[in-house]
Amino acid sequence: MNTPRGGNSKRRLISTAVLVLIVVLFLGKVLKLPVALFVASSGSMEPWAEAGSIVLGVATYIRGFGAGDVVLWCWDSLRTACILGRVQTVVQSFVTLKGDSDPAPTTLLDGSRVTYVAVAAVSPRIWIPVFAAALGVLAYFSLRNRNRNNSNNSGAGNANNSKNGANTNRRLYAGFAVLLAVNFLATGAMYVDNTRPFYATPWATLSEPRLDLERGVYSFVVETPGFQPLNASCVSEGFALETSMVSSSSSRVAAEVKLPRSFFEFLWNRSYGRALFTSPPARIGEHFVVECVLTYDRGLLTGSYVASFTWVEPSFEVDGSKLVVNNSNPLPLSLLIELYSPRTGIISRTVEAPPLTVHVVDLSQLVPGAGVYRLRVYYDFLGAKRGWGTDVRVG
Amino acid sequence: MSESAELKPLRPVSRKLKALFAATSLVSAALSLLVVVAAFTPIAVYRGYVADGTVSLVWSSLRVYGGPAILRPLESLPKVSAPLIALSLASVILGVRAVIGFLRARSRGLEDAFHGDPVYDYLRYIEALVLASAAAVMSFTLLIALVRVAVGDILPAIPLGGCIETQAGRLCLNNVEVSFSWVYRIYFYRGILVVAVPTILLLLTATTALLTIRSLYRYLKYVQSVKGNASSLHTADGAQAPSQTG
Repeated sequence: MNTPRGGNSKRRLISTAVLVLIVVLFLGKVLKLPVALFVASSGSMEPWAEAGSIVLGVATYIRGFGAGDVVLWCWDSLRTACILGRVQTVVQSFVTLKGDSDPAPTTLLDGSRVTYVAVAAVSPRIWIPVFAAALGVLAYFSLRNRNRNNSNNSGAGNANNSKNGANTNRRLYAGFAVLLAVNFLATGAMYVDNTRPFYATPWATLSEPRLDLERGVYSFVVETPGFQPLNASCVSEGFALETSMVSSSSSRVAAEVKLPRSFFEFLWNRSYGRALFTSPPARIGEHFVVECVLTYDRGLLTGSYVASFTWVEPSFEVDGSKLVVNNSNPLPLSLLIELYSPRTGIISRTVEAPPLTVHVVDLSQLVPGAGVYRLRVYYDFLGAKRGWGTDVRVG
Repeated sequence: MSESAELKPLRPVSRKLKALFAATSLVSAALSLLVVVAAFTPIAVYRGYVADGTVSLVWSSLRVYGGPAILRPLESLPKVSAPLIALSLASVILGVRAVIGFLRARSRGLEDAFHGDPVYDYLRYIEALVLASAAAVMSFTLLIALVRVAVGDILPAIPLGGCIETQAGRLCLNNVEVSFSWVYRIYFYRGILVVAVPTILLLLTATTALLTIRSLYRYLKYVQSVKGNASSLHTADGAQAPSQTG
């Protein structure tokens, strides 16, 4: 008679002890116990600990940690907001952590908030079936005991109905109590992963910026994957510039900005005087900023692009009776040509050298007859009054 | 002629009390059901390029800047919400069982009252009601905590628009259209909800339990007094039995 009861009470003792141990371990994180069980609430440490794994942790006041260790870092005192990650660096009292499946480490974190060193993890694919099996075994033995009680009481009639009802209630409350306990343990053993979010932000690149002085065009290419360009508009130095857009693909757009003569005149006037105190041939650097707004289906791209070129003092040479003028500037250059001979006196003409051209002036058209003349060419280059001269035989 | 005790038959619980019990059980079950519904209801729905998807306590699907995003807090929420849902469902089941059982419980006749104890049948369901209400309150409080985490900590980390500096300039993106549900609004009333709702439910449950127990106590007293009268009547009848049958 005693042996089955003794066996039952021994089994009950062992199972109670195991239950208490598990409960204490699951409460360890909240109670700051030396050893604790907690649940990995995200997949940041996969494959070492899958999401939902039960992790065994040793408190940092028992065991230290270093680079390579998996630790639990919590920023609140109740340990409800934590990060489970592998230590990357330890710098004085700061650490950086990185989940094995996270693309980047955290920023520097306060090392004193590392609470547990994770030493082992049990995958949910293992512990859930084990837990379900244990519940099943518990339910089986509970039902078996109930059936035994029912068969023993089958002849007792109504007198024991309420007692059976009370037993049913006790089992129901026991089940409910287990659920409450599991709830309590689960919420105590879990945490909300506080790892910062990782996502790829869109990007845009500028390439092939080019200033074509001959065409009077500034062009560039912008690549913005995933964005459909709609239109573009550009301004520079207060000028609204005509802008056209050519899309070579859905994410790549080439834009051309027309620069009118008035724009270059503005630049010239702005740089007027900079050639003073320079020796010919003067070269004066010029730059301007083109501010563009490209409209896409998903937003706007606002960019400021710098373009530059050089004002170059014109060069002259005489070829026979021809004056060759090299004007490599984007504006026409006004030249005062003077030819002198004792016979004719001074003959002067104003000639305009077109922009970006090598202009030839036939001197024979300017003088009444053949002869040797003294040639002088006067011009204004960015405020510097310049002159160039030579003797030329015309005819 | 035997003297029998002329006692008005007394019910263990009145119809009004049954109605109160049913109402309390249903309120408890409704609160738990509300918790379950809130867990599954999307807290916020995002429509746009910067963020697109839904966020709820049990399931979230979100794309950020047109691509997949790793949002670890959102991965945690379903796991932390699982015990909440289990507890709420258990509370609903217990509450419904309590009300059905309580309404079905029949007062036993005077004869049955001598052999059984009809009070226990009612007491069972009072206990079930108290447990169900306690669980409903716990799960509601836990829901408030999870909503606070979701709305106060997680949602603000989701980008809604703004500008990004790129090599080609500043890329300013169209704002996201966000719609929030009633679960989101719980966050702004959490202070009063976490106090008022549990207080109301617990008061209701306590009042129901107290009134029911008092009613059952009165019934017990009545049964005991009837039993006492019947015993004394039996002794008197025993002496007169031969003349009655004769």
